[in-house]
Amino acid sequence: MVSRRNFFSITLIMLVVVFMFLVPEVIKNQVNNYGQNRYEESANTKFTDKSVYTATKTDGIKSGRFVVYIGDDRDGAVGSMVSQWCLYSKRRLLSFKSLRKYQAEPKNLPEAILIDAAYLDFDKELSVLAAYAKVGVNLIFCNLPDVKDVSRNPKLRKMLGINAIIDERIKVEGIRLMDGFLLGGLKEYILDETMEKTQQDLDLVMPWYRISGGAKMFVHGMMEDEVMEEYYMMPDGDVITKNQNLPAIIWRNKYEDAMVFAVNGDYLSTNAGIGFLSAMMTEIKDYDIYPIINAQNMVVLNFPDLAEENESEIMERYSRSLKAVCRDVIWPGLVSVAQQNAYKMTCMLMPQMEYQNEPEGDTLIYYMKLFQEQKAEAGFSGTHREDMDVSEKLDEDLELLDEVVPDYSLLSLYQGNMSDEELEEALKRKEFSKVQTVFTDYDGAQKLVSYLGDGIVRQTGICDGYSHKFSENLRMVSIQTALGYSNIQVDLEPVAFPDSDEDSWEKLSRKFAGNTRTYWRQFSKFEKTTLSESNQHIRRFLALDYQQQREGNKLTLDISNFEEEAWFILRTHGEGIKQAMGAEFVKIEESAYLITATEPRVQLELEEERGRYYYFEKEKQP
Amino acid sequence: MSMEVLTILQVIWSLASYLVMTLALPALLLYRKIKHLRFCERFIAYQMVGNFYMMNLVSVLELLHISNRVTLTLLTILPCAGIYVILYKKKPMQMLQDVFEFLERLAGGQVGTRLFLRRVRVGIWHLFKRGVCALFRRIRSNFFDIILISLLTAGLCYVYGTNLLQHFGYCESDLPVHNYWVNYLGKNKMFVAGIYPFGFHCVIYYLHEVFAIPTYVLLRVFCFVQNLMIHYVLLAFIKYCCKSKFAPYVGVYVYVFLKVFGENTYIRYFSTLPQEFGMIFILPSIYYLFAFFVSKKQKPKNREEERAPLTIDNIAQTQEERAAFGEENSGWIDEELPPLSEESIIRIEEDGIVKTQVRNDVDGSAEQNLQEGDAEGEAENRTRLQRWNEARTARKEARVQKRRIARRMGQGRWARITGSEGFWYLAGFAISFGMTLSAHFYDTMIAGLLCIGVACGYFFRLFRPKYFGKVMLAGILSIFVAILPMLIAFAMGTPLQGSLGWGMKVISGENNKEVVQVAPVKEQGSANIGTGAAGNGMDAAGDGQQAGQPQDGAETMSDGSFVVHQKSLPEKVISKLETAVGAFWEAMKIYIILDSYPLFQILLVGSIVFLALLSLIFFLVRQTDYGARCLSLSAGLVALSVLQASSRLGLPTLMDAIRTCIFYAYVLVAAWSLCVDGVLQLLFGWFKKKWILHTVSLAVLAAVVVYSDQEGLIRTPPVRESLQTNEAILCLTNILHDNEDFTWTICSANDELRMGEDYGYHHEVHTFLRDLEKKGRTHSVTIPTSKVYFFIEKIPIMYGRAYRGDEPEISEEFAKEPLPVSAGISMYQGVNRLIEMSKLYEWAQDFAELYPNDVKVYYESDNFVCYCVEQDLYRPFNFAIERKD
Repeated sequence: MVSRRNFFSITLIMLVVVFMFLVPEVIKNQVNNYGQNRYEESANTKFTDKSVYTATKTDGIKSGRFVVYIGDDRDGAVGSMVSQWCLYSKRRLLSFKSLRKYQAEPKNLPEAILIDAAYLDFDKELSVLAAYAKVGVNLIFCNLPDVKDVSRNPKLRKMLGINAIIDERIKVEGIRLMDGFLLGGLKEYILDETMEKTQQDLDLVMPWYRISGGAKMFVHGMMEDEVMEEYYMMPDGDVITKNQNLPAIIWRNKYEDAMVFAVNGDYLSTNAGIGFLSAMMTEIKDYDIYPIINAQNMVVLNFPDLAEENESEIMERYSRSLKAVCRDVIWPGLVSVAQQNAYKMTCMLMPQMEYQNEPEGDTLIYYMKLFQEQKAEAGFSGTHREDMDVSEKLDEDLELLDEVVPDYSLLSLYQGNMSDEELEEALKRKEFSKVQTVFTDYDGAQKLVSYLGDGIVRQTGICDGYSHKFSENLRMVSIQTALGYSNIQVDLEPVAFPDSDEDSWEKLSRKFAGNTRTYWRQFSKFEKTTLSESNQHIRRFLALDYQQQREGNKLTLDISNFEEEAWFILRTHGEGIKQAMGAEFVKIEESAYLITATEPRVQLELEEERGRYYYFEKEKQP
Repeated sequence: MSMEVLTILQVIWSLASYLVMTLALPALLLYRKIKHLRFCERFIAYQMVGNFYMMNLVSVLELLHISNRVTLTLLTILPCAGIYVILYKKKPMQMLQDVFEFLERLAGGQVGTRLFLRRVRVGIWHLFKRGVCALFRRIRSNFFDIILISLLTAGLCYVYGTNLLQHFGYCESDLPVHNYWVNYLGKNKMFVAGIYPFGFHCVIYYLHEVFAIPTYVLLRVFCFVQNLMIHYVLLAFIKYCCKSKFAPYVGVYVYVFLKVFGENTYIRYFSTLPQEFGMIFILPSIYYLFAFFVSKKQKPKNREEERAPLTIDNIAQTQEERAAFGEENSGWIDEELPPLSEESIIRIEEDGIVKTQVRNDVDGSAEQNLQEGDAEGEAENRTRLQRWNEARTARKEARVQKRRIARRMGQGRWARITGSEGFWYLAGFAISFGMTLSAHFYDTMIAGLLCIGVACGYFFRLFRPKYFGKVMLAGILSIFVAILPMLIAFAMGTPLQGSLGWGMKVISGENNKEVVQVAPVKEQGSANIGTGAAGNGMDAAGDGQQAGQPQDGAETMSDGSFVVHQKSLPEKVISKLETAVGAFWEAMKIYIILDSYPLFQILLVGSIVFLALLSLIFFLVRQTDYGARCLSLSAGLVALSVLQASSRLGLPTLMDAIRTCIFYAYVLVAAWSLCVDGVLQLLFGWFKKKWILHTVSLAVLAAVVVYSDQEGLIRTPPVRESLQTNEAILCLTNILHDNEDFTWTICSANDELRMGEDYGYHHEVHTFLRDLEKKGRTHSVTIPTSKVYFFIEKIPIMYGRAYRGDEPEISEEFAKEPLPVSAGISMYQGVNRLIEMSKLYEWAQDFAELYPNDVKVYYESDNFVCYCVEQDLYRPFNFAIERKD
């Protein structure tokens, strides 16, 4: 028998326990403001497309950031990349289709002349280039002429620092990117036993140039010893000899009073080349400081699917419905990766794909709450079936959203497979009136970040979460170097509508988790953002201008068009930041610092990163 | 941290490490066995044992190729523990058992934690209290000695330590070679460059390996440690020889603080060199010989005592022996003897030993003396005598019984031999004499010459068949032990090292072609000394008997021929003596005492004669050991004088005069101390109260100090320029601190090659430049480490002379000169070094222009610059760049 006193005590305890478990949940639900976009206010900015800074001639003279491009700056390849880089690095660009058309002003010489080899007459204009080199104008050959032309032009070879042409066409095993050039350290793009062959997608066929003493190699081809031995009497294990003679891909030579960079390949023909140009400018100078976006996004596309679709296939694969798969399998996986790598997700909603079953509003509320808890942001995905009209899709989906979360401001929109016209039409809808960002898939010919007009920023995905081929990694590293910016896009449409076993979530999630953890680790110092936050960063980045000057170890940075925060990368050659005023700083890697300016005037005190520990007494004395 | 502070810390650490091995550890093991000896004797014993152990342990392990930190440490700790257990009859198992039992009780709660902590606290407190009390007792009883030794140490720090803080590099050109040999000991390659005495290298290697002091640091700073030891041993030796307490300090004071000695007598003290290290063992070998002969004086009496019926004389003699071994129980005397009345005993001190005699005023008979006493006293004394006799008989029987048992066990003879004092003194002699050879051959020569002096001084005891054989055997054994590792290596096919071969030639007389250094002031009679412009230190053969010059007693005729006049024998002898004295006088003036100090020159010669006279006086007054010591030193100095002047006398030059003078001055100050002590002993030694003698000796010391100060004789710390720039050492130290091992290369002249050999790579400037010129035309020139440091002297070091401010600087003109083709060190000397450095500087400028971001100025001063090239090993730089011009 239980006494009354005990019965009372037990009841009381049970009530307390129930209370303790229920109350937090109730409070969480009450406090969870899932119906509002938390980034609507916090990611706000005053800058629009009219605020974009474009360097004028005066600015170029004042700041010294001025380059000349010999080629077509609207060709969608090298020229586009160069103009894009100049926009981002706040440089004045003068573009000419022929070197002869450029008349240099002796008092306003450019930092460098960037050359598309296709637009240079090497027989006649090489001497002009030599003259520029003599007065200290650096030369960047964004690509090289045909190997035969190089071969028969000794002056060009001397200018480029090519000691010999070993072979006109050689296939290398892989490519090595040297430490200290791009951010992220040493990279070797060569297959090993654990990798799939499709991983290697770089152009491995190239002319074999051997560079001369005095030149410095940044990227070179990798070859097996046996191949090397065909060309050289190489003693066993003589790695040094081997490395000296490996096919050069990107290098620089000192010619007259200028640095001459050469790129043996098409690495600068897409917008991924901007990082290489930034790295080259760092190499030219004692130190370099340039603005960046500082945003790392993880964009989950077409998630969640709120209707029961593709039931038989999903049941067969996962033994549960699509809704259950999204809730119990995919979402925990996404959260796990995001939390491990401290990412914030931006989920592009796709309530349904087939429009056969009605989507459930409760499920949407459930996800919106989860987003709120995970500090994720909801956007809208424009992906639709090819046989379906976009406006119909939008009507259906937006109706649901309007019904369930009427106050939620959609700030980002994924273009998906909408055409530009369809996108333009879609953006006119009132539901999208607050959209500030349009997210698109990667296109090497387009600008990475730009205004679409009407104050909407276009951001492109940089890498696919499931695949990370060598070219993708090189692109990511290069863009990180130039902009501190990256978008990992994870498309969940293939999971809902798989084409093969390779589209199953267990396989895709493994790749996604592995790639994210491995390749982005070196850039963990950059800020993790949602698309709305990165939109704010981009607007500030595009709007600002800066002037910098150094006296001794004091570096002063004056920022105009400054709003709350601006971000810069300082790259040195062995120097570090001792202290900063008006900014915070964090070390990204050796000789590279991320500076977050909190005031328009920043003062940095530099010092040797690795000073001498021992000294003489007399050195201390004034 | 500044280099100055670092150097002080390095000196302290080196000194502490060395003292642990040569003072603390031997004292821990031996103190209770030899505590009856005076401190100076104990100090010498500890030094000898510690050094001997280090040298031989390393030698054995090296020959077995198992030398490393673990084996060295284990074979230091385990044998020491074993010896401790055996010597002090400890029971380790019992001790362990006790400890475990206690721990068990502690764990079981039978002993509470509070009680345990209290015991620990009380134990520590008692230990501390006892230690402090003992320290204060020692300070109180040796107050002046402690003060004077402290002052001496401070003086040594000032005189020999200052240079260490001003010049951080090696001061002698052969130090890199020694560094090289020590480095290879670390690779278990003894005698890497051929057979050579490795005692010094073994000690340095031991300290490097066990105490983790880099070899190059030891070779930089250990000279100070060995200087301290050299001077302490000198003081200990003089202390042993003298009777007054403070006369020994006179000699040491003069040696350390006065500027009367020539630079050559001390300049090598600024480098860690084997010869100077070996000086630690020279005087101890002489001390052990003295001690041996002193012990043999007492031995026959002991034997007679055993045979003769016991008388009061015998009792007094035994008391005397006890006093000689110190106040406490010596360890050889097992039981306390019944005391005699103070009135019946006279205490006299001879040879540093307090002797006691029974009053024997009338006819020397104790019995008669007793008869003359009152009846009561007589009865008391006889009772005591009876008790004494009984105790002695019982002790004798016990000893006989013990021997019998030991003989049965087959240990009798050995136990008898090792149980005698003489054995241990001879062992000490063998050890120390052997170590002179292990350290450096020249030390053995000096020790040998001083032994000849001892033979002269102790001729009356040495040439007894019993002792002569033992001494000779000890000498031979010592040499055998010292050369045994070399013999083994030789048997295994290792050739002799170059300088050893040279030494052999010198001994055999094949290499006597040296040049006489001219005296600064030529005197009459020395005008015929050769006129060769000598290098610093090359002494000469030939006493001016140059080709075409008339010989002694010859007269030149008008046609240029010589006519030799025959001289009578006395004339010849006188002539030879004159020549000898003249030659010695000349050598002394050049090398030992400068002309500016004529008084000290006279004192030098006078002390030899005066010591001989003193010895005669002390022989006459029956203080034979003291007299023998005086005579030994006098004779030893004569032998050294002959060696000093050997080249001038036409004798084989066994040792350069420039080196002999170091030893000469070292022994000379001992002789001066003994002279002072002898005079004081003659004047005040007869007083019963010894404090009079000690006080007067202190007064004499004070007088010498005041006199020297008034006369301006006190020297400032000598400066010894190093053969490396301070900046190079600074950079090397930083490079070692900043980088992981073997990730860097230093490209410099050869100095840093051996210094960083255990930690990184070195590339010689000459090789580098030659590669650039020749190989670089067709091939890449690479240095495959992530960092390459280039040491460039803007004002190149002038080997062999100090900076004067007029040294030429590197320049473009010198850079255009062809690369020197000479080999060896000559390519880094004079103009050659200038050219090498100019070329490297020019190249570095060009390279820095090509790679502005990869070439950093690591350190720069007015006369030195260090460039650091950081390179990616996947893309090492091709250093063969084309010159801009």
